[in-house]
Amino acid sequence: METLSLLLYGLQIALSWENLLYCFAGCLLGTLVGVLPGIGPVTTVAILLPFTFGLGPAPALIMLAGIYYGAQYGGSTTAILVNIPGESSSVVTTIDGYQMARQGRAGPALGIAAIGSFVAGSFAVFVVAYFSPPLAEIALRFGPADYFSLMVMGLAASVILASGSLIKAIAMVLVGILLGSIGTDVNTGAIRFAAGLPQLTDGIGFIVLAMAFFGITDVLVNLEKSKEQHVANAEIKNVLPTMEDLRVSAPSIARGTLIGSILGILPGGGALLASFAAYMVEKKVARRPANFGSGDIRGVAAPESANNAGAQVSFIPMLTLGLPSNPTMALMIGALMIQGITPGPGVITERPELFWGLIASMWIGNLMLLVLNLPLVGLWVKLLSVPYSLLFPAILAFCCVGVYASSNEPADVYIVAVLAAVGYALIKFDCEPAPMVLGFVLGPMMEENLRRAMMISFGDPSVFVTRPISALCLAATLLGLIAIAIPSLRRRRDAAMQE
Amino acid sequence: MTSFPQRNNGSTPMRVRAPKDFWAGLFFVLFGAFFAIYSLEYSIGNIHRLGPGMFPFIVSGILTGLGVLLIFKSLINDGDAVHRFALRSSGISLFAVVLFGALIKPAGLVISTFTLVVLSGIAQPQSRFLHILALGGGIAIFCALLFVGVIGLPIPIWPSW
Repeated sequence: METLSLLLYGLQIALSWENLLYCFAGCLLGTLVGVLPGIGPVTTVAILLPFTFGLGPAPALIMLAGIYYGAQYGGSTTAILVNIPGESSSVVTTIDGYQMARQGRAGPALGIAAIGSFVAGSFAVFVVAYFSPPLAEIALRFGPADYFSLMVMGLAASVILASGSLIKAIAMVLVGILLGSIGTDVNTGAIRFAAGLPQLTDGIGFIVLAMAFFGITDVLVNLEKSKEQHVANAEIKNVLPTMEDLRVSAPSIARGTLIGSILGILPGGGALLASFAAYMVEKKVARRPANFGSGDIRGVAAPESANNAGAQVSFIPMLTLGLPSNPTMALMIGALMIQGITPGPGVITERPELFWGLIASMWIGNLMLLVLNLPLVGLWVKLLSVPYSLLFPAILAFCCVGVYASSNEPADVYIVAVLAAVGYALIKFDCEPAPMVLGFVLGPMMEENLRRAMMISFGDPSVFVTRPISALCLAATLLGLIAIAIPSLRRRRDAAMQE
Repeated sequence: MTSFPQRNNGSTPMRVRAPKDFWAGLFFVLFGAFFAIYSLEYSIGNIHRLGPGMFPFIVSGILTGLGVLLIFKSLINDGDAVHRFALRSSGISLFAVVLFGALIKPAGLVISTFTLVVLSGIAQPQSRFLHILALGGGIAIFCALLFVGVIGLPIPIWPSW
């Protein structure tokens, strides 16, 4: 099998001492930071991004991926022990996980989360390996009009699947697109919206934007919440689930993995949607559903497997199309661009060592997490009690040093301060920064493809509806937006988000 | 700490019923209008060859429209009030960030990081001053070791005089 031999090739790359080290460092650091109270996976990846500055593309991506799974697992740990989900995709885990912890079963809950994540991760690696190359091949035939419509669809999907106001989310995407258009226009060389500031001629750096909205804005929002946490039953004696636990959870892990692998590819909320759906399915198929909500191990196993599978499968659109399906993938694209690589369908064939090395390292990373987490749970529990008042100055410091390190330009630090203040105000008005960051990343690509499409078609805008792929994407976008605008469906979405 | 001002409170028939939507809408209108007007400086081009002003103009136009829509909605539907801004803690933190930017070139990594951590740390009344000093020293040394020592970024550690 060709894919298998390519996977072996990737394994050789991932198993080099250098890459193993970075994969390990990424997993460890990601879990370490992700487990800290109030720091979600996106923030973790953003804060730790500068660590990869000096690395080559493959080690950098491998390390970032490690940071991402580590942070996800860290988020699940806080969900189970402190009832605080690190991000929306571990919200469901709090329901039964925290109850288990309160009953003194925190150990098995964490253990089953780790095992479920490992199983899901191992399966998802094959999904990514088998589905990406053919998808990239199809994508190579996409014209600029198709790309433009695909991006419109991706942005619309992320808006539809996000919680909260639809108008605000769309508006935030547009704000991001406009922020992305600041700087030199590649086609004409015109310097746009720079207000005469030489520091803006190259535009706002991606690191600057990510640190501002995911790092510092996050700190400002957290500072005003009173941070009273109750670590449930800090004494964890036994992390290993019993045979009975494993027997009960095995089917749930399998179902969660499958759901995560399918839903994870959707733009916008792959892992989030997957964990919710997996929990719903468990509730439906379980023979004694009465246990759910009061510490049922299946309520931890299924969503944890689903969100890990979803997290990994969400690499597919990023690796094959160059499109981020969530803010973390936007960060990955930003990191690749810093390395001088434009993500897209060409990456698999032009940089096979990058693609296959990353996929193989995903599996190794999952194995490392399993080995790392079972013995180190005690340490993570201690980290949970680090007070936020000592934590946030450290986050501010890492963000500032990271921003400065990315450009050696003090003005970038000032821009971060301004953007963070704006981001803080916007969150006060219930406008989430995530759609804005997606817009920022996709905006320049959309403009470029729009221009090319119009040039190729000699100014005929009908290409967007006559090319089948483009037409399909636009139709799906329209359908989705109409569906969400219908009040009854909208209420159902809001209810599902509430649950 | 101040509460956020509300316009048209009660006296006129035009009353803001959903302050969050109103302020968000106002932001989008101002932001969109700024970019729309600014983009008129650049060539719009023609439909065959779009100029640098075209795409931003369209996007900012839609954004302004959405902002107006939000403002209208905020006058009709009831919604949440804007929570108080934590002006003290966020103000000090942001000032500390700006100060870092001002210090990094002349004073080097250690001094600017230390200042940032200590200044933002004392903004929180519940932490002890000695802890903050130790934290500042620790993070400053850690950043110097990591970013300059291990990663090898060309940032001066100490003042250059």
